[in-house]
Formats: sequence, C-alpha cells, structure tokens
Amino acid sequence: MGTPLDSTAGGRSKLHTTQWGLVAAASAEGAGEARAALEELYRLYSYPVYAFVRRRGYGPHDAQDLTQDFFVHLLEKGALGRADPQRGRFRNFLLGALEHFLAHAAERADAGKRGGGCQWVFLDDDSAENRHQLAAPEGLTAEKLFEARWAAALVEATFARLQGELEAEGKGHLFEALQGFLHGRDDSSYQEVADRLNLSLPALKTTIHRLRGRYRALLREEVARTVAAPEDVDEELRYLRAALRS
Amino acid sequence: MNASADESKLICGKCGAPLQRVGKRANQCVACLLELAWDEEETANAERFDHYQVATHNDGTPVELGRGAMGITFKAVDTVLGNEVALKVIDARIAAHSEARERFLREARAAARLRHPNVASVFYYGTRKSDGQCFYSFGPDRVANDSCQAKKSKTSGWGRSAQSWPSGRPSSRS
Repeated sequence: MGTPLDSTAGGRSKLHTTQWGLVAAASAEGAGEARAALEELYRLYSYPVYAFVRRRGYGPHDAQDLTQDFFVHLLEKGALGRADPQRGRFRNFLLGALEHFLAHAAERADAGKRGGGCQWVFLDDDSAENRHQLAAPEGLTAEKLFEARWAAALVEATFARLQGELEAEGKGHLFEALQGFLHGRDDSSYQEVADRLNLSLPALKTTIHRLRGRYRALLREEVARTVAAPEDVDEELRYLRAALRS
Repeated sequence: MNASADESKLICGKCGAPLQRVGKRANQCVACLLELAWDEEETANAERFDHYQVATHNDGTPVELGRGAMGITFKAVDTVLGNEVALKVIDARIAAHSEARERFLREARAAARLRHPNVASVFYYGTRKSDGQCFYSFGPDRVANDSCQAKKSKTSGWGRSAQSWPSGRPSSRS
C-alpha cells in the first residue's frame, strides 16, 4: 500500500493549470506529477462527489468509500485517458464519469476491486458528512446537489487563493476582517471595522473595492480552469448561478 | 444535528438561493458569491449594456423606440463617446435559445454590411456578460427615424407602451 494521499495537505500549485491539464497529468503513466495532480483533483472535488453519492442513497461510510474508489478509478488505465478537453466542461465530464462509475459500483465491489491499493486520507475525518448534513438543501436531486457543491468548491478555491495571496503579502488580517464585505454591509459596520483596522473610511472602502476586484479575477480564473475555452467562463457562471437559484 | 437541519433550509434573503457552507464559512450564498464575477456597476444596473446606457424617462422607465419579433430597440447613450445611439436588445423570452441568438446575430451582420445614406450603420454587437443578453447598436439617424416611427405607432396602436420590457425590464437575470 502506498503512502496515503492527503487531500487536506498543501496548497495550490503555483502554476494554476486547467482541470483538463490536471487530468492529463494524472493520466500520464509513470509521470512524477500524476499523484500530485490526482490529489489536487481530489482535494477540489471530493465534496461534490461525496454529496452526489450520498444523495443517491448511500450511507456515510459507503459514500466515503465510493468517493475514494471513484478517484482511484479515475487513475486506472484508460479512465482519464479518454477525457477529451474538446468535450467541454470538466464538471460535465466528472459528473458523467461518476454516474457511470456508480452504475457499475456493485460489480466492482463483487470483484473486490475497492481501494485499488491506494489509501486516501478523506478530507478531515468526518467533515465531509458533517458538511453534507449542514449544507445539503432538501429537495435537490443528486445532480442539482452536485452542481451546488461544485459551485461552492469553486468559491472555496477562490477564497483560499485570495487568502493565500494576502497572507503572502503580510495582510492576512485584512482578509479575516474584510471577507464578509465581499457581499457588502451597512455603513455602520464599515466604520466599526475601519476603526478596528486603524483605517479611514475611504481607505477601507478602497481596500474592499480592491479585494472584490481580486476576488472577481480569481473566481473567473478558477472557472476558466474547468471549461474548454475562456469565452465559456461567463456561460458556465450563469449556468451555475441559475442552477442555484432554480 | 437540530441546528444543522435548520441550516440546510436557510435561503438567501437577497436571491432566494439555498445557503451553503463554503469551507469553514457557514450560511454563504454561493449564487451571490458567483455574481461577484461580474462588474458591480453592470449587475446593479439593468439598463447598462457594456458601455451603453439605455435612456430613461423621468419616471425611470426606459425609452423604447420600437419592437419586433426578435427584440426591442431603445434609445441609449454611448458612455465613452457621449453620443446617442439606438440599441436593439434581444427579447429576453427567446434569448436562451441558441437558434434565436444566431438569428439575431445574422440580422446584425446583415445590417452591418449595408452602406446607404438612408440606412443606419451598425456600430457594435455584444453580449452582456452577467445574463447573456445580446444587443447591437446602430446610428443616430436610425434613432431619429425610429423615434418618428414610435410617435406614429402611438396613435396606430403598434404596441408602444414603451415601458414594458419583454420580461419586465431589459435584464432577465436568472
């Protein structure tokens, strides 16, 4: 059994390759980066996959096993090699692969293929199930829940990068204090925070404006990693927004 | 788990989307956080199409110049150059259909090829990023012509009630 793959460790690679690029790296036989690439995919998308499996009726433990098995399955020869960036959105590829995987899960279990000789550290203990309980709106189909969690994963990745950038500049405290202002708050809150950060009100508003601008750029980058062409970013964003509001 | 069950039923007060946990942040509206991908000025302003601002009456309703099968034409201002233009916006009810969008684009391209003193020139074709509504702008002479036509149509019952957008307003944000 190899070294456990840890989805909770490490940050993002400096080169923010596209998800199709990660797929290519993960599917390259013998490539040294394959493991890191798959770990990155797992870290980003294990929650949407887990939520989908749970909503399909599997219990927490089975869902956890199946989520891990799914990513191992992606590593198997041929599974990722068939992925074609020209086929469009990475979200659709992953959902299609997952549906196919679950349709044949029983056969694989009978054949004793679970695990694939690879042990994963599933996020942080039971956080996936906790998160599922906390944020699995009732009445959503498995597909809609997958899309909701996918969108949340994009936003989470954006927050993580924004926080990382500010911390690298020694401004981590600004992120902590101002992340809530991405949505906007009333003026009294602005004054309160300005006093706490020892900033003037105009300076605070300028800082928030810049924070929103950087968030916007990073979010668009994150979405761009999951689509085939840059011009598809707006359409993908509109699709996800509409899916969440429908 | 009582609290968690309640949390899964919370919805955003602004847009109605279910609230979700994003990392360690509870009760986040992911739909609104996605909305931040677009320029705030554009998303807050339904009468804004790229650098064009639709003109409005004193009561805030948009100035409509005409309407057809594909869309509605409004009076607008190019906010960069400062000149008046006519702005044709695809009907929001059909904007989601790719065939309708292609037909709208073909219409704009055909108009752009025409060069005649009595035919307005097409300046620009665009798609509003936040909701995908297509539009194109054309010359001020057409604005004048359409304005005259609009006045005529008020008496001929040509559907002028300028103030009715295809789906309430120019925006059909989902």
